[in-house]
Amino acid sequence: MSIIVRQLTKSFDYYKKEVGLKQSIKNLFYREKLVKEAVKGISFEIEEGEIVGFLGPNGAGKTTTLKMLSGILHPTSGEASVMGYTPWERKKSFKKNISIVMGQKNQLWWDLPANESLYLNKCIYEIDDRLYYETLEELTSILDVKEQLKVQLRRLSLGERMKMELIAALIHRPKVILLDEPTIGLDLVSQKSVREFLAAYNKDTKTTILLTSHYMKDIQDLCKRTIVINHGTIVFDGPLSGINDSLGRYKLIKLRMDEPVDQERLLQFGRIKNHDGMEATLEIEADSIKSVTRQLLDHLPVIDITIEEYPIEEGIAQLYRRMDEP
Amino acid sequence: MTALDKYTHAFLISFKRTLEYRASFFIGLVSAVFPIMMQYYMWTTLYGHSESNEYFGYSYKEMLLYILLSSIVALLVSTGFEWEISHDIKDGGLNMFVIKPIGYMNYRLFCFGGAKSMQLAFIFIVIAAILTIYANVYHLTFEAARIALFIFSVLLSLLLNFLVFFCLSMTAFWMAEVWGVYAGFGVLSNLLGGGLFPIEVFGPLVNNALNYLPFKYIIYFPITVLTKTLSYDSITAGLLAQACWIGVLYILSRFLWSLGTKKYVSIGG
Repeated sequence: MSIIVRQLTKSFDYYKKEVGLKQSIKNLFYREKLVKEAVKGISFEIEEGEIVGFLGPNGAGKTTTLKMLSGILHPTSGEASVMGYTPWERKKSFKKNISIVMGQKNQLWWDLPANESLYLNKCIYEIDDRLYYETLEELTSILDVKEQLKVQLRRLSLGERMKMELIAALIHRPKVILLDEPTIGLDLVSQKSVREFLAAYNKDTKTTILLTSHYMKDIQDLCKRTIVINHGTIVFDGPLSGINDSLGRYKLIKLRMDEPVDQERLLQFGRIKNHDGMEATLEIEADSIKSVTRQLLDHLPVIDITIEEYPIEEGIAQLYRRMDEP
Repeated sequence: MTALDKYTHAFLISFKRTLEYRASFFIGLVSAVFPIMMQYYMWTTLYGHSESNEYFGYSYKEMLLYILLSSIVALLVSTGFEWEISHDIKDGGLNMFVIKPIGYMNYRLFCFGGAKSMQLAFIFIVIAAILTIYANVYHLTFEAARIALFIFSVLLSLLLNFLVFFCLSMTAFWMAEVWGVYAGFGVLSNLLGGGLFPIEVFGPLVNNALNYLPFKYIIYFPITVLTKTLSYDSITAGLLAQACWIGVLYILSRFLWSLGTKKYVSIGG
C-alpha cells in the first residue's frame, strides 16, 4: 500500500464578523470562535502505481486532505501513512520521495528562467548530475518545453509555466505525487497535454498519483478510481462510471419524431428530462430499456432514436445534492 | 552532492536575480543622495562658519563623513526579505518549503547573502572613493587595520540585521497584516542604529539604553570603527557584542520559527 488513511480529521478555528463598522469594533473586543470541520474522519487506501481522482465541490476538503498527506498540515486526529511514513513528521527521506503541485501556487522563481529554479531543486533534493540531466531531458521532451527552459518565467504562457511547475515537482522522481488542480486555467490543448503526460508518466514510472480537478475530463481520462468527497466526508469511492450505478441505473433515450407529440403520451414510458415538441429525452431504468425502446418505436412516430449513458456530471451533481439535503 | 550545495545555489540564484534587477539597486543608491543633501544643509547651518565648532563630539567634517557613511551602510544592510516571508506565511508559499528537504531560515539567509554580495562589492568601492576624497581634501587618514576591521564588522552587521528582521518577520505568523509593524520597526531600528545621525545626538540616557540593544551595532558601531579614535580594546568589545547579539538573535529566531510553524495554518481548503 502506498497511501493508507484512517479516520483523518482536520478542523480549523475561525471568526465570524457581521457586516458593518459597529460589528468591526465589537470584534476588536470579543470574537466568537467557531470551528469548521474541513475533513471529518475519512479513510481510504491507495495502492502503489494507482492514479486516483479526488472530486468534490469547492470547500469539500480536498486540498486540506492533500496538505495533510504531504505533511504541510497536522491533522486534528486520525492517522495516515504515505510510503510507510507519517507525513507530518516530515522526515527527510519522506520529503525526498513526495511532491505536491498546487495549480494556484508556484514554486519557481518569477524573475529567472525555469532552469535556474530547477537547478536549485536539484541541489535541494541532492540529485546526482547525471540523473538530473537525464530526468530533465526526459521531462522537457515529453512536455515539449525544451526551448522555454532558458526563458524568464514571467515571459512564459500559463500553460508553459504549469509544465515547468510539473517538471520542478517531478525532477527528484518522487514515488508519490499529489496534484491539486494541475490544469486550472489552462486551455483545452494544454489541459490535454498535461493529462497525456501524467498518464504516460504514471505508466512508465509506476508513480502513485492523487489528483484533484474540477475538469471532469481530467478525472475521466486519467483515473480508474475516483473518490468523491463532500463536506469533509467520502460519499463515493470507486470507478467513475459507478457513480451512476450508485444512484440507480438509468439511461437516457433521445427521440426525434416527425410530428409533435404531447407530454402525456411520453409520460407513460418514463420520466421526461427534456421535451420540445418533436424532440424529447427520457430517463429510463436500465433494466427495462429493451422493452421500452420497442414500445416507443411501436407507438410513437419516431424517426431517430439514440440510447445514451447518464452523463457523469449529472450523477455527481446529484451526489452532491443528496449530501446537502439533511 | 553535499548538503551545503543547496545553500550555495540559493546564494547564487539570488545573486543572479539581483543582477536582473541591478537598476533598482542603483536607483536606491541615487535616491540616498537626497536625504544626505537635506542633512548636509541642516548640519552646515548648525555648525555655522566657525571651523572649531563641535557638536556631540563631532567636528563639521566628521559629522558629514558620518552622515555619508551611515546612509551607505544603512542601504547595504537594509533587508526586504521580511516582506517575502510574510507573503509566504500569509499566502501559503511556505508550503513549498515545508515539504522540501531544506531549512527555510538558512535558505533565506543564503538568498540574502546572494542579493547583498554585489551591493557589497559596489558599496566598498564607493566608500573607498569617499575615504580617498576625505584623505586628500580634509587630510583625514584612515589606518589600514581599521579599514579591515570596518569591513569585518560590516559583515557581522549584515548577519545581525538579517537576524533582527528575520525575528521581526515571524510576527506574520500571528498578525495577518504586518505593514504597520514593519514600517514602524524599520524607521525605529534605522534611527536607533545610527542610520540617520550619530546616536550621541540622543543624549546620555538613550545611549545608555542603547548599550543593551542590538541596534547600534548594526550601523553606528562599524562606522565608528573607521572614523573615531576607538581604542582597539573597545573595537574588540564591540565586535564581541556583535557576535553575542548574533548568537542571541539566532536562538530567538529559531524559537520564534518553531513556535510560528506550529501555529501555521496554510490558507485554502
